[in-house]
Amino acid sequence: MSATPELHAVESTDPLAVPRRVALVRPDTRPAVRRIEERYVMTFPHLIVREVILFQVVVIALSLVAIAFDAPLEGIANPIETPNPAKAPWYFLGLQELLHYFPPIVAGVLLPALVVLSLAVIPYARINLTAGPIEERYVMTFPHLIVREVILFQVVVIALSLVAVFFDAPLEGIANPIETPNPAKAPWYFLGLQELLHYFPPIVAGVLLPALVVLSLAVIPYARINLTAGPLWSRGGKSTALALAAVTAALFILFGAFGCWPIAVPTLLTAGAMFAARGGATGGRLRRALARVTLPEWIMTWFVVIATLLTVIGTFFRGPGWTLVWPWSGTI
Amino acid sequence: MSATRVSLTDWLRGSAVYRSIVRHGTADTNRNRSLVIFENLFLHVHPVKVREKTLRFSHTYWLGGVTLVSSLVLIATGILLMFYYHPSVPQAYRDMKELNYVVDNGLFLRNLHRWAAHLMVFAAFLHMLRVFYHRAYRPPRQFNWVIGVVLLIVTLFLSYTGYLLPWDQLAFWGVSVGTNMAKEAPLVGEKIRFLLLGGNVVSENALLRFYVLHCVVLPVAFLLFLSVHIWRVRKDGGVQGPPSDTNDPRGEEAP
Repeated sequence: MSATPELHAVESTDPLAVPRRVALVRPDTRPAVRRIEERYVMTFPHLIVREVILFQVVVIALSLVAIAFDAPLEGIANPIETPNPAKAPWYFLGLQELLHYFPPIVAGVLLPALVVLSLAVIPYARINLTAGPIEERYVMTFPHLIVREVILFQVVVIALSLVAVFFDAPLEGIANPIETPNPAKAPWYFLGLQELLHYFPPIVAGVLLPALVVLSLAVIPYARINLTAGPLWSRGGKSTALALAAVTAALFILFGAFGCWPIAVPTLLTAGAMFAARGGATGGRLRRALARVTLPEWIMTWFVVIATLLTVIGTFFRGPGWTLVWPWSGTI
Repeated sequence: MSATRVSLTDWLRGSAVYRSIVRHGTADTNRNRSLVIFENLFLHVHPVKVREKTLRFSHTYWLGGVTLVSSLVLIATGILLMFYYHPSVPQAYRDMKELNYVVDNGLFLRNLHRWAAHLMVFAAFLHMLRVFYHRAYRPPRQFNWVIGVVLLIVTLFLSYTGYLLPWDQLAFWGVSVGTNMAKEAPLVGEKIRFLLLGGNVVSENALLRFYVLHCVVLPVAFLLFLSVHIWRVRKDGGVQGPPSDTNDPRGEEAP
């Protein structure tokens, strides 16, 4: 069993160093290289099997104890009636016993603090380190990435704090099951769904479509087209154009039949943009950019436009009885 | 004055206690900079070196980072809010009033929690779009995308269960509308709704269940999936930027 060819374990020469201090470095940077050849076994199965057994033994033993012995339960808590003696849980009874001999400040504060402190300082010893090599195309995570992460954290927290200072979270009257507000709205991120309820039967808007969306999202990386698709019009495109026209017409008629224009109209617009991308490789900047878009990207864009539109309509343009209103009408 | 301070810092950095906690010296060599990363439980999710271009803003727009930071803010403010909140009717609503008018900085605390929640949902959604348009879901990252979808759903449910807790009209009816949708699922819809609400209508039972889901079940689920998500980013070769970047070899690991 040999170590990885390019990495060697180097042991510190400092006799007082923590034994764990084994650094991984390039072989030629250090003279005193010694391979660790033995005394190792594979974590799996040797350790993992023992861990599983340990877990099972403990759980089974505990279950047996729980079957055999009931947890104590006395009368309901009563601030007036003090039991004699009143005892702390067992792991504090040592302290409580000390209280019997010493004044409370000694038994309750000084001695416990001393114990904790003594435990904490046990392992202290001298520790040492030295320096090493450099690189090219990569940068050191510290400081380059870590500094950016710290800045990101601070920017987000400060920005959020400012927003929280200037804008109060809404709080209406206490919940009243009798008095239904009109309109009764879900949180904003569900208003797209609630808007769908206006057009489709509940089973479609509340179950079928959301399930379809989640499923479609989940399978994206496994669908071959998402991995292989080039620009939509890369191969001539007569059949592509026909298929696109047919699907667009079908979708438009389907959603139009339900009166669901917030889906039907963006469907037409997206298809329009897709056709505009055809032959765009020789056009202006915008058309060149459009010409590079793949079919999966067009579909996702179509979905995002619709989801955004439905959410905006549900949030800002729906009033009493889910009728269309202007955001400034004050009836939302 | 300044000379004294520097030597004090040096003395502190050289002390046995400091060196037992932070084992490496000043990070002025690449060796020590490496040690900063792999000697630290939290930082060692990172490799010791990263590809330089991954640091560019347009590489990821830091959207996953923004989502993560808002979730940290939510955990911190959420724990503080738990000190003041009783999940019972009508005390829950009274606690809101107490937070708004009695508790020191209570209104700020609640505001921060609320707006951070909105930011988290929004940033998570944008993060998903970024990953999609950068085609960063491609092998070997397929499964991490799926975990991301799960995280998005958990995030939505976290936000949604928290929505009921103030027990005001907004909360009550928002949740009534939402759970009525769950009812429409065939066969199990009614049962799921009953299980979720602890009854047939939004009531005190629902408040308690949403509270437990919001404060324990969903955060634990979130942290578990989040750990796997971040772990796999590292294992799959680091963050994947725009598609022009795909010629990268898998290895992000520095020596």
